[in-house]
Amino acid sequence: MGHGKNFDEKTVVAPGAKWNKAIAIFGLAGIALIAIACFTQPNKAQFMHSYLTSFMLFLSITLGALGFTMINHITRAGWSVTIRRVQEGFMKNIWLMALLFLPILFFANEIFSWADSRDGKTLEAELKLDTYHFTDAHHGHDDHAEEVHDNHSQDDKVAAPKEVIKKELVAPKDKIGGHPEKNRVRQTQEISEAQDAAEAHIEGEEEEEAHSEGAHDAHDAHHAEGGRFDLAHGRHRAHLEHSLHVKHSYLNQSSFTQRAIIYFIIWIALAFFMFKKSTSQDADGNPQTTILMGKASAPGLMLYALSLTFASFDWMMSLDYAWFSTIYGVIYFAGGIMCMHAATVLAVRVLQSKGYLQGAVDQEHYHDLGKLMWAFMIFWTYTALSQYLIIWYADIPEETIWFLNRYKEGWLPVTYIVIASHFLIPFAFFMSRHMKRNKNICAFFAAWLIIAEFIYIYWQVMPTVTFPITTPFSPSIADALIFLGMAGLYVAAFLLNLKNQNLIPVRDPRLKESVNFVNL
Amino acid sequence: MSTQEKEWGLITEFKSAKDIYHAAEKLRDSGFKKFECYTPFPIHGMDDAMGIKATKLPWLILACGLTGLATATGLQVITNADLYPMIIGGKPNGVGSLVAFLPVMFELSVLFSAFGAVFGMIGINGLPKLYNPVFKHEAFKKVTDDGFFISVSVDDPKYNTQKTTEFLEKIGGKDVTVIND
Repeated sequence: MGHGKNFDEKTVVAPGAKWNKAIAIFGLAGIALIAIACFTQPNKAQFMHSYLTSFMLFLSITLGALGFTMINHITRAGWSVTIRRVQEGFMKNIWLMALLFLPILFFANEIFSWADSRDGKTLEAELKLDTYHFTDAHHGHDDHAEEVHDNHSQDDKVAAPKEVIKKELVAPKDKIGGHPEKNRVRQTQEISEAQDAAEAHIEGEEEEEAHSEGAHDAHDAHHAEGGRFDLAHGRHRAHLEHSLHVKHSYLNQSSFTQRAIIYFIIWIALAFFMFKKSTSQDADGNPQTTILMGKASAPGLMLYALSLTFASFDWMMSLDYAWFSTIYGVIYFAGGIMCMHAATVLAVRVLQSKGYLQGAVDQEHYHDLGKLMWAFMIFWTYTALSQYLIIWYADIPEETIWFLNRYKEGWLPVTYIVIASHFLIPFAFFMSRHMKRNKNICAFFAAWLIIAEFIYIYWQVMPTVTFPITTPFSPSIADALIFLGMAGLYVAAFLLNLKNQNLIPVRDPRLKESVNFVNL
Repeated sequence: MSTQEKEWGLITEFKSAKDIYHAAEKLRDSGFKKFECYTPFPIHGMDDAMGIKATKLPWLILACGLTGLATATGLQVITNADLYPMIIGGKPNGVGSLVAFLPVMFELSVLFSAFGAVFGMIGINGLPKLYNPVFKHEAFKKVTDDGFFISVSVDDPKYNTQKTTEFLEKIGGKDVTVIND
């Protein structure tokens, strides 16, 4: 009451060279761990998917910080001023994320099947999962297919077009030359032409016989892959090719690169502008800066929302290029804001245990960070369930396949872990205000939710390593090493950003309000 | 006026928010339980100064929320799976379609929780209360402007008209008055 609290000024001044050692340790450890991860995972595609998983997690923290800082400015929030500088430190890490994005850009063809240089192999896989799978589901029995096949093997008319398809399939890439994407489309056209020819050839034969022929092929493929893809859930090859064809003008390497550059220009411009203005206010104490940041946040948030949504489409949703969900960007945003609050709690907890921020951040701030963390965890659930519910209701194969792929190949337990760790457990045990007001429990759930988000992103990214065939759940040590390595780099960059800055905006007009903030 | 008037409690006035805050602390420390502070505006930390324990309302809300959850689950699962099973859109009946019931389960949990919160708050606060004996005290009208008052109820185990009056005067209360109801 009455007499205001005060923070200990000595514990918020710029730490300067004191942090150099920590920056070096975290930075070198991060690089070392990622380097070790390179050697533990010989499969390039899987390594890059693991890399993308961790990248998207830390990007979500960075973008969450950028968005939330702007939301605070635009709503003229008072309570959050003392934790704003920490969040600005995360926000400015966008320069690190831009550097970490470079491998994804260079190895995009290892990650994104639409940018594929594995054409021959993938096409073969796709062709095995051809349209006949659906008829095969009706025929069902190996014996039956075998029988029919025997009849047909004497029939040269049918055997001949089959040869044509196979020849096209195994055609070496260099024969075509030029851009891989373009080759992809050209190959697709050639194959569909070949198929048309094959079908034209078969015309006149009985329809059922033709289907049975295909059924036999499908069975061969099925056995060859050790029964890995079940027929009812197999991709409709025509659908894949069609998706690739119609989305080619959006999903190709050059426009992918251009869009990535635009996203990073927007994010870096916004983050550096906000950081610079905020820290310049520490020096001059000009209250106009606060008003300016509020005004800049309005257009900034619009750009932010659009760029974040499209980035999540480009970098995660397009892993399965035939699938789409308009709410995808919102889910990523919700998870990001949640993770950012969790990261803030952890950062503040560690800084305070090292003697910083004394009196500036107290349990009232933990309580509010915990509330926001919990609220955005619920918001994530709301959006993720919305996506699931609509797809479940409509029951259209091209949409349900995304979830069906995550119900098999060992992914089903992971699906349940996502639901439990990202919603049920934190919902039940982190609801009480006593949990949020206890600094250690709050920090525990902060770490929990970051790991839960990691599992969630992992669950989205990793089944697509061998797209269109669902990759079996095969966790590797590289997943953890890359995560830890990137975390090390992230912490180092965070410390570097804040090294020469006050740890709270010491001359913000709303600072006193924040220090004295009390939850009623 | 009824002839059955009996003593209701003591009321006293303080000059400032600071005074009433410290007076409340002293009342709390000397073991008074049933006293009330009346101020023109909310004072941060007053709950602690008065020694008011955390409310039991969250537990009531939790119970209401679980009731809502059980109602929604039961209503949908029993009707869809047992009483009148219908196949809609090729979806399984009952628990197999649990995901379709989730929105209603969520809504009813929230609805019942909100009822519990609002009506529970009103009930625990003893509202609606159309009459309070403190209004008999003429000076009490200042409470919406610049008056800070503390009343001590006769129900308090430590209450004794003589001793409590002396105590209130000692901690800075002015114009200590007995209120009859």
